[in-house]
Amino acid sequence: MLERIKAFFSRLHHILTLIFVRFLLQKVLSTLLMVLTYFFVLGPTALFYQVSRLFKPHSEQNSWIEATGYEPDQSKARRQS
Amino acid sequence: MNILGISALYHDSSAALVQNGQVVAAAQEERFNRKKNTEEFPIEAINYCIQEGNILFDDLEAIAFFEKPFLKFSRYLFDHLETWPLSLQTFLKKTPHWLEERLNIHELIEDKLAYTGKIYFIKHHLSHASAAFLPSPFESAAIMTIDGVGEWATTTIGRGQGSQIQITKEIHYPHSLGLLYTTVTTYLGFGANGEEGKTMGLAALGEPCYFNHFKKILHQYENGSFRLDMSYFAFQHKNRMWSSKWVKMFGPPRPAGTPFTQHHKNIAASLQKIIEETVIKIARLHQKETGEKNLCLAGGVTLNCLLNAKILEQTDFENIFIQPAAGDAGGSLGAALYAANCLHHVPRKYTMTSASLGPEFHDREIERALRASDLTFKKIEDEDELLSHVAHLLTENKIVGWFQGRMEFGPRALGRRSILASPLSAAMKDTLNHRIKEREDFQPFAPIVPQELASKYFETMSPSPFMLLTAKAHEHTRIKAPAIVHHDGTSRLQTLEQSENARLHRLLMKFGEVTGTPILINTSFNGRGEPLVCHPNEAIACFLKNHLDVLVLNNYFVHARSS
Repeated sequence: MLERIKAFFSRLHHILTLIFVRFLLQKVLSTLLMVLTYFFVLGPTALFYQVSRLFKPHSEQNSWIEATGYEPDQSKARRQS
Repeated sequence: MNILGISALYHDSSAALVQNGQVVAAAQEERFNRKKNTEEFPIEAINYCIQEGNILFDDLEAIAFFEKPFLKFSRYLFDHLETWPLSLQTFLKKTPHWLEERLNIHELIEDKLAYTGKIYFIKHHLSHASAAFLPSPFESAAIMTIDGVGEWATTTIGRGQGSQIQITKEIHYPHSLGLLYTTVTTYLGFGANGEEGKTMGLAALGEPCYFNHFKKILHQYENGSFRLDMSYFAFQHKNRMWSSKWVKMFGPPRPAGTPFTQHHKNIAASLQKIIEETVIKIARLHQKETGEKNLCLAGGVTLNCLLNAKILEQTDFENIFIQPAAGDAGGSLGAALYAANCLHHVPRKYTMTSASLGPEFHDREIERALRASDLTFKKIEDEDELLSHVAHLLTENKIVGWFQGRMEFGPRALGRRSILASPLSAAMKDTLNHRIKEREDFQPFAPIVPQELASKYFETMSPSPFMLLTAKAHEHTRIKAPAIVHHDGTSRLQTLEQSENARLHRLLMKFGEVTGTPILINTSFNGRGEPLVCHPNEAIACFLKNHLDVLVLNNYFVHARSS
């Protein structure tokens, strides 16, 4: 009986460890992926954007932008962007 | 034709159902899941709307979501391009949420509702503009929407005519009056996206001596547009709104729960002044450009009733309409109405005269809840007897929980889920603030008055059915009803038409017969940090927890003493 209980807890421990390791691994991998994206995909784009912006100073007297994309159109309204 | 509107995943999630051009139901999710200003997908609010409309999901012609998620995501990426490499922490924190939920709205709706029909994505500010104009009583009107941020726009101006809405100009993120207001709100120790009203209340106690400081932060231009000096802000890459430069200018932020100093009050007053100056300038120019006499407002900033009253006072607009859920909760209403009136060309025939679009509970449910609570109650069938009894108790300074009919849509309690009290004693304000509402003592209480008698007590310029305008109280009102007059001599007024809520109107008249002043304090039926009560069980729990004296649920009467 004791052996069976021991075996049960051993299996349970094994399963929980697997779940935990999988969860941890998933978390670590996804974070790593996001860090890599941030530095190696977003990074160069951001540098390019930030440098190019230096040469395009904003208008000092106007922040209004002509509004576009507000036409009542069913197919356009179904787009998410 | 049935169209369901949804606003979700940011704050104040809600749903609204439009049937053949009429709004038949609308409610915020917070009322069901009991999480104030919840951003969760409004599944319970949707289920309520579908039940109220007596339809199935298959009967929906379309679902209209209140913004365009991919466009909003482009703004999220822009923040990171702009602030890279400082934004790593927020990128790691927020990106999973975007990837899992916010970019999968289509799948989320299909999955949660088992719905495979058409889904429209209406731009955030177009949803606001539609919620402002389409349910208004005007055939033609100027429209202004002002909030924190939608996809890119933070402020828009346009015009509505018939069933057409044309947005002409907009100001883009990060230049935002709403975000400036939220910055000060959080700096003063209040919560973002929900406690901005406290900053407005605090403003009345201060002097705008930091107005010139704010002029350095918010640059105003001749054509009404404006720009924020972003060196004072950190919201693009941090989890707080202000930068160290802001702290250098105004000092350290106030930790929540610490006492307010005159410095804090002056900051709030200065902010209120610059917001008013900026918006009034835009409104004046927009009025000249359009020649319109009617104005429709929407967006979180337009929940600021001080600002709204000043727009009416200081511009050539003669009429103003602000629907009760002017913040993001109203996005569901606007998106659904836009889809019906503008995309499906259903004739525009709905005018919003009442905010009572939420669930209603009948006697059987109320009685069941009362029996389960073990409270001693009685049913008073004769309305006249019930109202005379309640009016008499109000004159004795008893505090009444008032639960009647359909729940309100929007943040204000407008006489369906209200706490009512006599305004005749100045001490009532402190009693309510400390004993019942457990909130800061500077916060004002709003009066409710019969529409036809409003001008006798207040300098009203327009009806205020949704409590979204302030009015100066006459001298005799300040003396007779001191509990509803704020430090600046104004009141956040609700005017009540008899046709909107006949029972409450009669109660006001009865209270007036006894006291000579037909005005009551009307504050929301909830405890601190809780949403407005929805179900009778919640009303009973709030009655017990917050030590109200009397509870009236439809015709059921409960007195704390006898219970």
